Amino acid sequence: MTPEVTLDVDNITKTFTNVRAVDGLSFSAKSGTVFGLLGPNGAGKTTTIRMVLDIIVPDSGAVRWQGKTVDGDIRRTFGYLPEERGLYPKMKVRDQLMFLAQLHGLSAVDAKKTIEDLATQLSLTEHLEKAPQELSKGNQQKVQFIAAVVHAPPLLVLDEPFSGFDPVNVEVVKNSIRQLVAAETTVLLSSHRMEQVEELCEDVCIIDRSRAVQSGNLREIKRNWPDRFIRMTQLPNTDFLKDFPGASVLPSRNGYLDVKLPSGHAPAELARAAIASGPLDHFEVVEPSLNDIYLAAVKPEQTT
Amino acid sequence: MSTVWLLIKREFVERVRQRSFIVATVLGVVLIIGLALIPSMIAGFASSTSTKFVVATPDALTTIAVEKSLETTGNVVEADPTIHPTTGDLPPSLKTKLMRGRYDAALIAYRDKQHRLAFAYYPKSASALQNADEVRSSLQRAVILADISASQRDAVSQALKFPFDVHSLNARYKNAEDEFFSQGIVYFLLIILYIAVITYGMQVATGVIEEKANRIMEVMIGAARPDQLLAGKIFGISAVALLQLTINAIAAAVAAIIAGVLYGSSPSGEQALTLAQKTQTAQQQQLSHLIATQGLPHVPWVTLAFLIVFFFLGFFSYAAIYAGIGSLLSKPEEVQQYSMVFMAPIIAAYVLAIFALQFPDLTVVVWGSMIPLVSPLLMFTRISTTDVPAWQIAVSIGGSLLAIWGLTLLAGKLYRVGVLMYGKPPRPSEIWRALRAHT
Repeated sequence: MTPEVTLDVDNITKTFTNVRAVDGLSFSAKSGTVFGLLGPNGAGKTTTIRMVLDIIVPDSGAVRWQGKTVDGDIRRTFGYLPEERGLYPKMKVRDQLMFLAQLHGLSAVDAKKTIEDLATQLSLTEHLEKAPQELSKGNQQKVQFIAAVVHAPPLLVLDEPFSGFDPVNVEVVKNSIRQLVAAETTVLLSSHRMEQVEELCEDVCIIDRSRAVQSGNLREIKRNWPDRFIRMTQLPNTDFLKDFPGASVLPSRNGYLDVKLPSGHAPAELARAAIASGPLDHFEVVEPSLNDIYLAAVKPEQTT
Repeated sequence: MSTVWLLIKREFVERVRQRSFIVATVLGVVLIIGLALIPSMIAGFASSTSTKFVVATPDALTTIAVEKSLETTGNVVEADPTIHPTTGDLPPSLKTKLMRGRYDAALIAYRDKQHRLAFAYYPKSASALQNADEVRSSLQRAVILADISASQRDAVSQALKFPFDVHSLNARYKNAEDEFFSQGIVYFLLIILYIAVITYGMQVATGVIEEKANRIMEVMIGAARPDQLLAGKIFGISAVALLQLTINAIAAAVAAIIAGVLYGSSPSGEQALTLAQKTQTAQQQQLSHLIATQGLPHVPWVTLAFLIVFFFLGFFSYAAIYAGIGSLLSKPEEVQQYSMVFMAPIIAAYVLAIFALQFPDLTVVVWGSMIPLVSPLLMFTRISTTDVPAWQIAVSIGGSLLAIWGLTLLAGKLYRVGVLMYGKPPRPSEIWRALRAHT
């Protein structure tokens, strides 16, 4: 089954008093996939998410879910994990989740079972009878995650879901997201954690200064990326790189020599030049990481 | 409906479970019982030990007159026939007697230079000191009767207790007590509504702000409509208020029954009242005490029904306003900063109602009693103190209901706008623009 486009963000613009927060942004997300929304702080990600969730209305353009403009009724089927905690600090976790599940229309019996299952999955069972204010940051975030998915939403919006988690819990939550994706959920993920986004997302949109600067299928973006990234044995003499204008040495990792080779140069030529200048055990053309793409797409803040 | 019901339930259960609610409720009950019982206890104590006088006068005739005057009000008088004072000074032997004996006060009668009957009062106990005025007026009779001939005495004595019957032609009040209670119940509504609006209305505002501050609002707005969220908040907190007020009312009733059993209801109640008049300046306290100890025998049931109706109309109107203002603020501390904004409308209505109590038929009051926000207090004042045409009552209630509905919708809009307003409170122009953007 080919994934169908479920969420369609069509040329949305939002201006707050004299500040254009989002400018003509378009992207679409497919069911059973994770869509990554990336960008520096203040680029307009949260504003975009709020427009998707019908919390604020775009000045122009539209957000559509399965062809219909998102309104209150559609929006209330969505699940949302906000960047900042949104829980009643003194209300018992179980009561709180029951309350939210029932507000979303689950029967008490179904709600109870779903909460038990999700709590087991996220190893939160022992904390169900506590109040969020007694829990660690990571466990609060897990509660928030359950609150977002308890009603099996068709669209799940996650704003920085991994903040506050240790590596073990990041895996736990990633697995939960994978399970939801397998169940045809559309996931919109906003995060600064490039490794996580790279692992989960099929499509991405990088926003910088309220506009999309890079958008589309992540694999295609990587394949069509003009720069080549080459990893080879660290050679004593790197003078041969001077014959390749524009090539630059990247900060070295694991004792390799990492080189960024701009388009117009063939990696094979670089290999030949390298062999000529020393014993070469390892030569590899690697795809750009999402991090590389991100850094290339997002211009550093200009200071005047 | 089930959404609103869930929201109301959560609000109610979570608030009632909180330790602060339990502590406040228990303290309230203790305070009410204490306030109701202490005046009765003092009054009971005062009535059981009437003032005991030791008296010295110029002659036997005066002694009889003084004894008669003081004993009519239930005091004990003991005359010392061995002393016949010629000045107001306290004779040493009498002083010894007063200090050693179980007397509350000494009373010296003497003839001054113009040969007029004069008195010097030496109270020892605190209650005797407080009774000085009473003693003085009791003695008036003795003074008048002292210097007239025996033949005149009967005539004067008769004249002093001339008949004076009150036959009220006022359709509403048969006697002064009726009027007193009609006004008393208005004060009762004023106080109870004022307290409810200030405490529970404020809780509606802070409740909204807290949800904003901890960002639960962003999640909630995805689960329910803003007007449902606000209705849940307003009615949930109202249910909490009702529970607490009912507990307090039961406590007051229990206190009244205990006071009645311990001290005998009617006389001690009146004593308590006279005592309260002396010790407490606030009229409200006497009235609420009187209502607590004597019940509401002079107020028709219809009026009581209206009391409940207008209480709710008033409370919900203000709660909706407070919810709206709360939507626009970001931090709970700001409620303190803007407390004048919160208090102004209810204080204005309060002052107007006190004014209306004096002039219930004035045009301003008649019109005011049909304008929402002030109408619950003013209309009830009118109903309790004058005759109000049925249509005006209907307009008043209908108008209030409409206002509650409209204000809740408006508050819902502000809430939706307010979700995104963090930081400084918005300017009126910003609120207006945001409201228009969502309509």
